[in-house]
Amino acid sequence: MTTLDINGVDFGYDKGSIVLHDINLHIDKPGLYCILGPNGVGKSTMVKCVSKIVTPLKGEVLINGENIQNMTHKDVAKVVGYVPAFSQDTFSMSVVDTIMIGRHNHKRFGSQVKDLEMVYKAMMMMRIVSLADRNYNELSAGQHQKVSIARGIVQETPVLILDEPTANLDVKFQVYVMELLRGITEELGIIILTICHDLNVAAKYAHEIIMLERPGKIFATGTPEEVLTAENIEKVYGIKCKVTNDGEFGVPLVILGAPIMDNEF
Amino acid sequence: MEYTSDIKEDQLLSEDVRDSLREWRKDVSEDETYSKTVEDYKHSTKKKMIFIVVTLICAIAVTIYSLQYSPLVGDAWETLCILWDSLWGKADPESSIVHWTLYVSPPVLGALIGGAGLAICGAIMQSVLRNPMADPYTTGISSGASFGAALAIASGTLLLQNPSLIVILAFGFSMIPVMVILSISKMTNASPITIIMTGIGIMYIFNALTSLVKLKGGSTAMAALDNWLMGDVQLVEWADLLPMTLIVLAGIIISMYLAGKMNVLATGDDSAKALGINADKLRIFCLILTAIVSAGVISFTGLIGFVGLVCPHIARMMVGADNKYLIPASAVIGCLLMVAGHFVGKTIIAPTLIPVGIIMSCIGGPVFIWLVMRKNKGAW
Repeated sequence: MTTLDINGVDFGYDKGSIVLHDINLHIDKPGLYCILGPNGVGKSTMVKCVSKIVTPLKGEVLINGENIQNMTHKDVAKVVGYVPAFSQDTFSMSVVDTIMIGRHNHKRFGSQVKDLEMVYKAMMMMRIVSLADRNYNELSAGQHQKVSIARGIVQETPVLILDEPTANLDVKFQVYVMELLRGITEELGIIILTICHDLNVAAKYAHEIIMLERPGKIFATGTPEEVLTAENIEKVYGIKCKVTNDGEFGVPLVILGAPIMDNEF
Repeated sequence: MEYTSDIKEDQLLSEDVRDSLREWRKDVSEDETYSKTVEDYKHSTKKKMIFIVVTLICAIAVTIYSLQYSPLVGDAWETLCILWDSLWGKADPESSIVHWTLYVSPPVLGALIGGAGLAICGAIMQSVLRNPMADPYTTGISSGASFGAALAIASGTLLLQNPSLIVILAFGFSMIPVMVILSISKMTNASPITIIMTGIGIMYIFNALTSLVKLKGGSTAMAALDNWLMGDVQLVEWADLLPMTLIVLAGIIISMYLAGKMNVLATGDDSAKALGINADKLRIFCLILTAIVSAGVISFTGLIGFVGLVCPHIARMMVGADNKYLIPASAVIGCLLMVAGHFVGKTIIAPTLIPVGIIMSCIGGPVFIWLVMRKNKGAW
């Protein structure tokens, strides 16, 4: 069973401006973990620390007890997959080739058949098989997102990180993707960390929620019922709300009210 | 913090999602849609390979035609037969020497090799810097080489004693921009924008220095310098072909080996790092490689613009952005364009010879504008 530990991590892009303060987290079972928090609170930075894209100023990130700073980028990539919020493909390839990039660490001589099979399955999951030979740049923002998620899935890593996977998706696909990610964690027994802005989607599909507050601190962790309370949401997001039960699955339902504006916004 | 992690008991999962998850476990090898997807993929790969091979054959054909072409009227086929026989020692030695000297001119072979070298440099730079404008000019390499050549030509007395001084100084000075970029990258970071901006800064500095040398140089020296700056494969001699070939071949082999990694890097630094690529190191390595290859070509041929810029764009339209095909496709397009450009240059107003650099810019300019117009149609 894969474990992920973040111990006392501080991070700042420039000296003097610390983005993350003493982040501590322990995950020891598969599940969909949603990271919530207002803009600029350090959600993306936190997941970048976990995938060794940036190096913490202090503290350590352990995967299965091993400090990722002592591992090569290649070794980290074998256990942590990462799908960025925005793709920077200036020169784009076909959809199949773009997803195939996710197989980079699995590629061996003569492995193309197996790689193509995985790419095909991921396209089936994301319902984009009909786009297979289209050029990535010709697709819409929502279709880009589906291709990026497929690229993350084919990495076959025990920890998968998705930075805002539902951005640009229509409501049907937002729900489908979150449901699928939840299903993947249960079917494949992996840990998925995802950044999310829709409180109700997170409330319904996350196994656990990690809520960050300004300035870059963990405010609360726990099940959606434990974390998504009206008091917590008001304190972290600065918005009045009512939290009830959705009446069907027993998950919290957040009804947003008036924002409490301050100078920070 | 207990939750349901058993897929069978999870009421939140719809039947559609369960179907999708079953697909993951399923053996799809017999699946009709899968077979079609694989077939389409293999077909598109085959098309790319055919394009590369056909372009290579065209480049070789134009080279052979160009080799036997001479203002001295002769039977083309007979010339080729003598050249072929002489390769195997069957032809009369005297006739062999005459034909090799008359027809097999180093400039044609220089155009072939140089075209491939400059084109792969453009392809690699554009890919790793994620910038359609990247080429040896915008990274300052060409300007460094120009200044080196200007210094060598201006010191005319030395030149008479050692004609290869231009090559040595052009190569040496073209390495300076790379060293400056390397140092600045160490102080800040090696992001594509840092490299391009530094390259453009260096380009202006070297251009100013070249103008300064021009001001101080004599008129004969300046005519020689202008000739070099126009880019002319006529400057290539037999002795130059071996180092040029070795450098370009090494560049092609190394870049093909790195093509998969370059594809990953092209998706963005964050995503490349997350896929196990040290983005900054790979970008710097590729930059050094392209600097050596482009300097290895332009030191011998003089500045030839647009090949490095335009060939990768044409190749991208034909075979896509996958570097495994883009690099060889750019190389063969570079060969074809340069050999054809050289041929046009020596025939269009014969016996006056137009340097290939001028021909390439005349063709390259309109092609580039056409490419810009195509941009909105998804050319890159």
